[in-house]
Amino acid sequence: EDLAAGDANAARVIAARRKAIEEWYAWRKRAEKSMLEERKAAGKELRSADEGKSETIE
Amino acid sequence: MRPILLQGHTRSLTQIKYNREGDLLFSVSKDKVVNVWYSHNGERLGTYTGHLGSVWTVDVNSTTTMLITGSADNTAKLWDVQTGRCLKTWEFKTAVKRVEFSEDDTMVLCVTEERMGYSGTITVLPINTDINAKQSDEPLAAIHNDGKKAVVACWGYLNKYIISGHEDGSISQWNWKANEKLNTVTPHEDIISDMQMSTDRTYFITTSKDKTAKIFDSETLDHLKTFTTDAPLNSASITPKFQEFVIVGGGQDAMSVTTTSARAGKFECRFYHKILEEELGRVRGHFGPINTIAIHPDGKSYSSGGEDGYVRVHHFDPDYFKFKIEA
Repeated sequence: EDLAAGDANAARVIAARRKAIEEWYAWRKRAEKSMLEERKAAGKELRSADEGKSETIE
Repeated sequence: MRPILLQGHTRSLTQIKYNREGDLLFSVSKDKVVNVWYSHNGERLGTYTGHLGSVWTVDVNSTTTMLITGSADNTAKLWDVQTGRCLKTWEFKTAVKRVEFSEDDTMVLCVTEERMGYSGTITVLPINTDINAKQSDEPLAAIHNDGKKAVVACWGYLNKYIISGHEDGSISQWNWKANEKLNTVTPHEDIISDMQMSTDRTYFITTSKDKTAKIFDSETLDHLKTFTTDAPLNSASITPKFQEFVIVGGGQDAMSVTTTSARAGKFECRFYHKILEEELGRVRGHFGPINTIAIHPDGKSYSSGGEDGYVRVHHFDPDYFKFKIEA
């Protein structure tokens, strides 16, 4: 029984984490999109420190 | 993770900053000295001498050609990074507590102290990015706050806003060109001690003496995350890659440090999962409160500056990069 309760708790924690992560990345996607659009409109796109070597924008 | 100890200051550190590439680390202190170090081995490259009071704040531009510092001697100074020459001194009525270059390096903001009949302001100065050019004396704008004094401030992306953190725990977003307050929130219960932007400036983290660090959306000032600790906080920084972490630091106030052991003073850098708000680990080492934290832009190391006068540079272990939380 304890074992089953432990499993249920762990599952709850993990589900809550998953939800937090999904919400964060959904917001990141929206925020990055509007920021990049504004940058494009202003003609000032992001420069990254390792320019040319990678395209990752964090 | 054996840290490198940078020994070049005789009094407490007030701010540390990496340049864009992260090969250099700039540090300022109450001892009036501005130092620059190689971040990979801790060798001191040089000093910038000229301030007559505690140096509260430092920032370096995106091309590592110019450095700006603010001091208790009521001046902000612009320096040639390479030669150490002072390019310009701006005089203010009170101490300069915070400086920051705009993302395009064409302006700096200066947060000045409120004292003896002078109200605190956030002054925006133009910067000529040509190292040999004459710098202007005329501010582009000045924000006069109607509420409690500002203690920290950051530029938003595209220089759209200036975001300020205040003595009473409030945060304001400004149309700085018009001295117009666009939005204000009061998420902290005590003075805000630090404010650092994410790499793309779409969100930022604040720390407060109320023992919390919080993350906000730069655009809306919506409160996104809270990191709760058991000590007053002085600084927080967001990891730019590899892990979704924040590093926060502080500790019991300097005034009461002598009555406390290092263990009880809670002088650790604490790592939190940025999204899950869970504490993951602590790094000890300082003998007093941690005043300032900066993360290398490559996300592989970080540094902390303490009330004890030391800067500690930590390179992450392989385990750090492998860490994954179950979700």
